[in-house]
Amino acid sequence: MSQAIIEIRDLSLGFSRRRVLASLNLSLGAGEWAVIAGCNGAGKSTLLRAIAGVLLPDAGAITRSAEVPPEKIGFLSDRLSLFEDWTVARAIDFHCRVFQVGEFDDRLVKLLGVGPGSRIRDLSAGERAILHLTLALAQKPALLLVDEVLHMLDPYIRDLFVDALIEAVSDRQAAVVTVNHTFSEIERLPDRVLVMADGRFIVDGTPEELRGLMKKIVSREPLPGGVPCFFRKAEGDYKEYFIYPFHEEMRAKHALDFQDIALPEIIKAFIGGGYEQKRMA
Amino acid sequence: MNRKEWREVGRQSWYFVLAAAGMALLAWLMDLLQGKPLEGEKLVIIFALWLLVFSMFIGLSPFAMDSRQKGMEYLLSLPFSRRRLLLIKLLPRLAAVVLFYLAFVLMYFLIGQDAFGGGFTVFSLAYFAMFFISFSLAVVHESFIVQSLWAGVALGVYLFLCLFIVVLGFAWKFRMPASWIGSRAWLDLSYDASTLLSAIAVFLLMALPFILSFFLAFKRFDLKPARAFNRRQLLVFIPMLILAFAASLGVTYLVQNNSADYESNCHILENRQLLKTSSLGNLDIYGETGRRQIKTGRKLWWEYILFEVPGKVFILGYDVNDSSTSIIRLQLENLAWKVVYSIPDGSEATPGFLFRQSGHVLVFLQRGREQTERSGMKSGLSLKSNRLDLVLLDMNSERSRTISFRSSLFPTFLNPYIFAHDEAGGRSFWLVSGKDGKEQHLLRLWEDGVVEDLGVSKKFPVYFGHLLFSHTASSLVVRRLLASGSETIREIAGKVNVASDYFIGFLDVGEAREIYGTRNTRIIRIDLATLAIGDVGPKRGQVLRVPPADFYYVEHEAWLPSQGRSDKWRKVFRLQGGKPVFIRKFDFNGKWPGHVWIQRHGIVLLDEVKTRFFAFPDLRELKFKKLN
Repeated sequence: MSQAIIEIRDLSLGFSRRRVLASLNLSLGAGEWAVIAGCNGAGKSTLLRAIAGVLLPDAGAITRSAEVPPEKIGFLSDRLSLFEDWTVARAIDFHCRVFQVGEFDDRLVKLLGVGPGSRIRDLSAGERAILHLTLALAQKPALLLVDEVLHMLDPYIRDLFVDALIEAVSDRQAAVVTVNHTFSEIERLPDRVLVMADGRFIVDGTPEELRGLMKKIVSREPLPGGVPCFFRKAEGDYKEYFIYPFHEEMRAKHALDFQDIALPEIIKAFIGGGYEQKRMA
Repeated sequence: MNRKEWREVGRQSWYFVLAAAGMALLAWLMDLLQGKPLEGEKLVIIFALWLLVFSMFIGLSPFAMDSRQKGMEYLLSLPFSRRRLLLIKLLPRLAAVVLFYLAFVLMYFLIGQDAFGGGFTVFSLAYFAMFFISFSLAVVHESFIVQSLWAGVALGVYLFLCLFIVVLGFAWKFRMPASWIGSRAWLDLSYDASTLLSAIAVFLLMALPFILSFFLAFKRFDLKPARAFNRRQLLVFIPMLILAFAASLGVTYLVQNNSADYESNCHILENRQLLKTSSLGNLDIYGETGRRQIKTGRKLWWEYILFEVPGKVFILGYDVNDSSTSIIRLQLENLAWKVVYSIPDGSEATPGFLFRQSGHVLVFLQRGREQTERSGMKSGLSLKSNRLDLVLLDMNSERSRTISFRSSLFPTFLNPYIFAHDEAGGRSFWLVSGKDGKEQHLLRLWEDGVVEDLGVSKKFPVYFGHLLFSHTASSLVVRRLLASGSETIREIAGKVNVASDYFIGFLDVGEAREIYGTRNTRIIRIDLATLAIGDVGPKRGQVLRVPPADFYYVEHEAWLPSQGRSDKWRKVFRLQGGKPVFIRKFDFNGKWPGHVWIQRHGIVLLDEVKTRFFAFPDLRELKFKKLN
């Protein structure tokens, strides 16, 4: 990883009596793409809002390097917040002035057929997501924070959206943090996958590391002792056991069929395991 | 961002102007229907009330639009620090509030100066306070209605605290208990420069906790529920409010306690010395050689009263600590002082200016408080029971006696006062007048406790040369009082005013041969032997009596035709033998509050700069060392 552009140390944040983030640590380098996953209420959006400065930490610190001044943070929240009475043209004009944007590339917006006179409140969720992305990209961000908005987009727009993100990372070495519940489109993209549960990261690694660390066993029999099962799922008479952390020595020691699984399934297993732990707690 | 806020405030201000114009139009139409022209004062009042609403609305509005448009998250993600964001919100709103205030001031001075009476200052301070308080509550709740309710409550508490301090300031200024300051003190915030200064300081200091706590708490403002923000603001606000309250009290005390005090009374004594009731419990006597101080050690608020017998003066003091009222005797030679009479617990005497001296006897009326129902007037006695006591204090022996009277007429009396003492058939009597409805009701109180009804008078009665002068609606009735009843000896037609005894503390009229008064715009003389009326000259001032029965005329440079303008000069004449004899002219050069105060032994001249003293009969100016 290159030198960290953002450092989060012991970040805690809560609403009233509910603690959402608990002593969380994270370091992110320039050009790094991190995907944050986790069950609902795990604190993913809260973390993004805290990095964007919309929510302020109760404890701990978020330190940005000099390369990431406030106007170089692009933030797409899941609420897609803008002044709804405004027209698209006024929103673009305002955003460009406030973030000192010289040149505004409105190709994506035009592609959707959104006119400059349209009111923000009249736009569909997908149109608003694209407008937001366009505004954020216009900032030429050093850090791009994208909450879960992909599910609002049709497959065609989703591709355009992802391509724009890829371009931002590859051209400008922007660090990107996305929160995702669906991974099929972006499986090939992230450098890092972080899984959250109960306000902290339970997993932090590259996709390869995660693929190596989690295997699946499908069996009618219970697992023998010494095989760590993170999450178990019943499929008819069979049970799916997600083994984590997996070591190659386990293959020699146990006559079991340790299957390789794709990243979306790994993340799903972590999320499922997260819920199970929550229930037990 | 700035442009967005200026546009938003501009739009809100425009709506406000339209609404204000609409209300003014409505008022005009309503007046038109009633056949009246629209009054400037009414317009000013409408605009002022609407301004208060505006200052609250504009104060509460900074985040209301952003929130309504679901733009709060976007707003907080903009690259501005919280403090800068708040300043961006504050400045256009403050500019609008100031601009509207200036427009209001212009309107007020052009067309509606009589709109509020003395309430202009308190309105101005409340207007700005409303804005700052509302601004500090801009994120107190998500609902604008709840925000408005909070702003109303906060303003109410704020005004109560501010006015409480202002009232205390008046108490410190005038050295009187705060309970004596009327509830309408808020109309007198510009009573003088020091009061205005301290009022502005109080209103500012008390507004600071609101705005400062908001700025401090706003450093950590985010999307969390308002409750968390409120708790943070409250934690800062409460200690700051306590500090501001203490600072306001301190500033008010310093300013008001040390400010010029026109209430300090100066009395020229018979021996041409000066007695000054300068501060709480302390007296100064000034002579040509210097000053002598009397410190009673008690917190006495000196009433407007001074009676003298050779070597002694008697003054009335209200003890601020125990709320008792006492008559204090001061020996002029050795300055020894002593309480010679205390109003009994639960009793109430007539106000100091209604005490009377008759020879060496100090006489006043007294009523048990439990039998008295207070009227709306601060110092008045409304006699709802049928008992009234006359207290006689011998100023030589310093002993007192009380004569009780009972009459079914007493309950209707308001502010009864003694205006004469005489004898008939070898028995002493005192004449008492009390307000009964719109008239004065006259009673004769005999020394043996008998009460005699002498009918009513439309104006204050007087008693000279053993004759009672009372008024009907169109004449002056002259009666001689007999041992029982009275006989009318003359009725003088026309609106005749005889120099009133109401504020004169002396009943000894001596062997008066003539009295003076006014009829319409002329000064007249009444010969007490023949009751013939003679014309003295035009009236451009006041006719005053100085005990025992000397009459003076003070001519004003700016009399009725030019009311409202300060006098450049006033001339004093002695009225004698039907002619005004010029004594002295006093120049004020238009300086407020040029005032000639005629006392028993001389004239006290008050102007903006200093107080000067002139002794009767020649009005020679008296100089006192270490005074002023």
